[in-house]
Parts: sequence; structure tokens; C-alpha cells
Amino acid sequence: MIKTNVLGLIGLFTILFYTCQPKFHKSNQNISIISLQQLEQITKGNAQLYIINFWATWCKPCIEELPYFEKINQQYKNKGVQTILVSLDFKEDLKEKVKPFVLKNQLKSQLYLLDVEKQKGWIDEINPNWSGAIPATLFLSKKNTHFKEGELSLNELEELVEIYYQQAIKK
Amino acid sequence: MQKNTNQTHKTSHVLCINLLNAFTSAELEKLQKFVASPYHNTDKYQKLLLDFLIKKIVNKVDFDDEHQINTYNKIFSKKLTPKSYLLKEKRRLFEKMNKLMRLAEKFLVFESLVDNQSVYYDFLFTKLKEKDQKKLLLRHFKKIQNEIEQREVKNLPYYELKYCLQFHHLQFLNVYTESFEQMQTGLAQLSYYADMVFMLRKTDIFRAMVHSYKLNPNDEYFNMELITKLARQKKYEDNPYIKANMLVIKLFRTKNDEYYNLLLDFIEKQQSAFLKTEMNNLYTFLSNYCIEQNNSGVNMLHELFSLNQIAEKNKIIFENGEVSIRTLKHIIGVACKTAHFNWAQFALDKYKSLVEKNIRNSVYNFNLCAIAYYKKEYEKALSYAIKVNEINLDYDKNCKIMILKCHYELDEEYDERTLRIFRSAEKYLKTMKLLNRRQKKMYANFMNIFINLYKIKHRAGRLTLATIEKRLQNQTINSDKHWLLSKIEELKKI
Repeated sequence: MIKTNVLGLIGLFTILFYTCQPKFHKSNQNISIISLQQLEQITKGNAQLYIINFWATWCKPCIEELPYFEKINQQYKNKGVQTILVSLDFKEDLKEKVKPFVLKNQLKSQLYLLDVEKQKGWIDEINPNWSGAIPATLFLSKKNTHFKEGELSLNELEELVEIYYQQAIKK
Repeated sequence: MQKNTNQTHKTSHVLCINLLNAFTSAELEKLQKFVASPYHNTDKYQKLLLDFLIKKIVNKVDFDDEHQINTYNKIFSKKLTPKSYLLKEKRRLFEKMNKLMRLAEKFLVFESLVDNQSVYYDFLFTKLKEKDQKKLLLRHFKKIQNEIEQREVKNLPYYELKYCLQFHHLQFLNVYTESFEQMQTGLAQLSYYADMVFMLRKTDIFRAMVHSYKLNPNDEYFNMELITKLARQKKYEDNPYIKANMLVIKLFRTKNDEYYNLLLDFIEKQQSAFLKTEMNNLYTFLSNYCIEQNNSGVNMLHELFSLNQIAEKNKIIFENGEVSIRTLKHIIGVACKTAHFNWAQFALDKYKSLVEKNIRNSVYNFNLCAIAYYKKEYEKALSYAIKVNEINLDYDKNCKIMILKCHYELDEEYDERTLRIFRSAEKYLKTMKLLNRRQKKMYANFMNIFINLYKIKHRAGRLTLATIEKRLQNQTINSDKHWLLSKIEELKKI
């Protein structure tokens, strides 16, 4: 009898322990380190529109606008729009800074870390008019490419995405 | 004067680090022993400085202020901070580095004496003569004479040593024996060796002039007729180096394939007479002739491929256990252009392990990309190309161009993203610091036609094919006119 009660108590504690834990789902995000050429290849896939946001964990305005991109990702992911968040952190910081940040903020968009250490002139290659400051966002489709340097509000982002998406799907 | 000294110290640390960066690890080890020797160096800081630089700086980091302070603190046992590292301290450190650089230079001179026998014996014999060391001198003369007679390769160092030996031997005879007859014969031989040194040097210079600088020498100092006449004399013509040099000169002056075949035949038969480095040079001359002819419209790619096969068979492709990535790219490229894909793959696999480790994978992927590209397997080519990291200017720009061409071939409809990649590449080539103005123009011209062709291919441009073709014909320089013309022909058929 006593034995049954003890087992019952252990079971109860186990249930309580797991239900009281804060809900940290382990992120499935795998953040690959890629080169600019690889990024170019990725964005030549089948999606109608690619939204590529350049950010870094140390950039406050970038972090502030990340939730907007996450929202766009949720809204458009089934419409053939792919949101890609490209971190410009140092690759040495991937494990210590980028991954914990992604985990903490539950980022769901496609994530990469761009390795440009050995790539001279990469800023110009992304866009000749880019000063190199982040945040910066690139919108790519078969029909158009647009580049926006600086922070975007949610409204601005939604507006731009809708315009570029309509252009991309227009026959 | 003071200003100049300051200037020297301002740059000496950079020069010193650059010099040490160029040393192999074996050389650095030897230099440490050299600096530790009290005969060469009595400054106690030099050893500390060199050991620290090798351990922390050389080939590892930039020698910026932070590392300078670390170095300073280590060798002078101080605890300076960026604020207390002032001009006086900098000057003190740079003076020491200047001194270290001089020691490293002296070390290089000592090291090169080991390889340069004629200079070494010239110094030694002069000193032994001053010390009146008759027996020792005789012993050296005999020993070197025997050693020289064994040599099969009769190149410039051979005759320089012969000249040096004969010169000192004659001086010896003059001082110790006064044998008139021996002197007479000896002087004739000395003159012959001097002539051989002269002819070997002169034909080397002429060879470089006609090959590399496209000069047709014919003035007082570059008298081609005179050198040709001299080279015809039996005593010179019998020397394989002079003969090969003259064949190279004739080949590049006349552009006559007969000399190509003669030279190829000659070096094949006389392999043992040449050092490997010289064989490599001679194959390079033959290769360059084929490339030049090919560029001027005479198809010599098959000859070039055969030449590479011979060079590979004779193990001339690699030097000192390493293969030059330029050579590797060249032989793979030629094999692909002549559709010898299996041989290209064989050569790539065979020599991959000889490529410098830090760029090995990129070089391998680049060449795999080239093989796939020439097989028209463009998607596969792209998958290799994106694995290529920075290698060198030549590889990097070629990789870029191959990516562009793959996109051109793959796109079934007009794609702004592709055009963006093209524009980025255009900008990349335009701003590449290592390209000279002419090269930039060549690539700018290529990109201009290339982008317009892409648009025409997908009916997105305003220009007509005829306009583009005319524009291309009017361009005096273009990095790949041949490919562009082939694409214009393809578009005409659509």
C-alpha cells in the first residue's frame, strides 16, 4: 500500500515538474555558414519572392525589426515567399551568440550566417548602393530586385512585401 | 637626416615582419640558431624578439599597435599600456626590429652561399691565397675539378664554377710555379669559360626578350645577328642550353612550327642534360607558343594537350613536392577544351594532394566545376563553384565568370535575380584592385556584351543581335570574345 502511494507521489511530482517548466521548445533551426555565392544560389530557387534581411546580434535596430520579418514569414510562407535572415555576426560567434539569440527569440524564418571574411567587395556585390550599414533588406524575384537600407516599420515592410509580391506573381 | 632616420624606423617593422613572413618554418628555425650565435649577434634583445615574433606574430596576425605593445613588454620586461606606448618606445622597438631585419638579410646571404658554389669558392680562394695556403688550395682545386667532371648538366652555374676555378688556378700558377706553357693553355680555357658564361647569359636575355617582352632585338646591345652567328659555332652549339635557347628565340621570332617540333624533339632526347626547372621552363615556352597561336586563330589546343601529357609523364608538372595551382588549372582547362575529360579528372585526382593545404579544397572544387562546365553539366558546375573560397586573382575571376556563364546557360526565362548576379560581378571586376586598367577594360567589354546577350536571349533587351555583334567586333580587347561570338551564332539560329 505504502509502495503504491510512493509511486503515485513520484508520478504526481513528475507531471507537476514538466507542466510547470517554462515552455522553451527546442529550436530546430540549423544555422549554416554560407558564402555569398551560396546565398545567390539559394535565392535562385523556386520561391516567387525572396526577402533577405541582413542583421546581427549586436545591431539594436536589426533586432527590433526581426519580429516583423517573422510575422511576414508566417503570413506569406505558404504563398511562395521565402524570408531569409542573414546574420552578419562573426562566424566565431555562431555558437556563443547567434544560436542562443535565435533560440531565445524563437526565430522561424530561414537563417544563415554569411561568411565574408575572405570576400573582398562583398557589400558592392550585394548592392552597389549599399553603404554596408545594417539593417538592410533585399527583395528578389524573377521580375524585380529591390534593396532597402535602414530600419523598416511593420507597416512599411508589409506594404513593400505586398507590392513586390504582387509584381512577382503578375503574369 | 633625422627625418630620414625616423622614416626608416617607421617602416622597418613592416619590412621586418614581411621578410619573416616569407621564411619557411625550416628557415625560421635556422635563423633562430643564427641569431643565437654570438659571432653574428651580441644584442641580447634580438633573440628574445625573434623568438616572440615567431611564436606570436609571424604568419599569424597583423603587427598592429596591440601586438607591438605585447612585443615591447615581452622583450623589455615592461608593462606598457596603449596610453604609455609612445613615440620613444615605438622607436626603441623599431630600432631592434631594424637590426633583426639586417640579421635576417645576413642569414639569407649565408644560406645562398651554400647554393652558389662559384661565389663561395671565389671568396674562399681569395682568402686562402691571402693566407698563403698553397696545399689547401691545391686540394680544393683537385676536389672541385673531379666533382665538376662528374656533372652531366652543363648550365650557367657549371661554367661559372669552371671559370672561377680556372681563374684562381691560373693565379695560383702565376704565384707559385711561373709555368709559361701552363699559363698559355690555361688562359685559352679561361677565355672559353668566360665566353660560355657570356653566351648562356646573353641567350637567356634574348630568350626573355622575344618571349616575354615581344621585342625583336636589333641594336648595338641586342644584336641578334651577332648572337645568332656566335651560336652557330660548334663550341657553343654543342651546349644543350644554348641550343635550346636559340630554338626558343627562333620559334618566337619566326612563329614557325618547324622550330616548335625541333625544340620538342630536342628536349625529349636531351632530358638528362637539363635540370628539372629548366625542362619546366622549356615546356612553358612551348605551351606559351601554342597559346599565342591559339589566341591568334590557329587552333593548337591539341598540340597543347599532347604537350601537357608529355610534361605530366615526365613528372615536370610539380616542383619540390608541390604543384603550381596555375599549372593545374591550365592543364585541366586544356584537357577539358579538347574533351579529354577522363584525363582531366585523372590529373586533378593525382595532383590534388600536392596543392597547398589551405586552398586544396577550393582548388579541387574549382577544377571539378571546370570539368562539369565543359561537359555542359551547368547545374553540377554551379554546385562546385559555390564551394570555392578565395584562392587567387586568376582563380577568383575565372570562377566568377564560370558562374555567370552557367546562369546564362541554365535560365529558361528572363530572371532579374540572374541579372543582379551579373551586375554584381560586373561591379566586382570593375573594382578589383589587383586588375590593371587594361584587364578591367577587357572584362568591362565582356560584361557589357554578355549582359546584353542575356537580355536578347530572353527577348528582354532593346538592342538587336546585329547591334551587339557589331559592338563586339569593334571592341579591340575583350576577355572572352570567342565565347561571346559562339553565343551570338547560337542566338542567330533561334
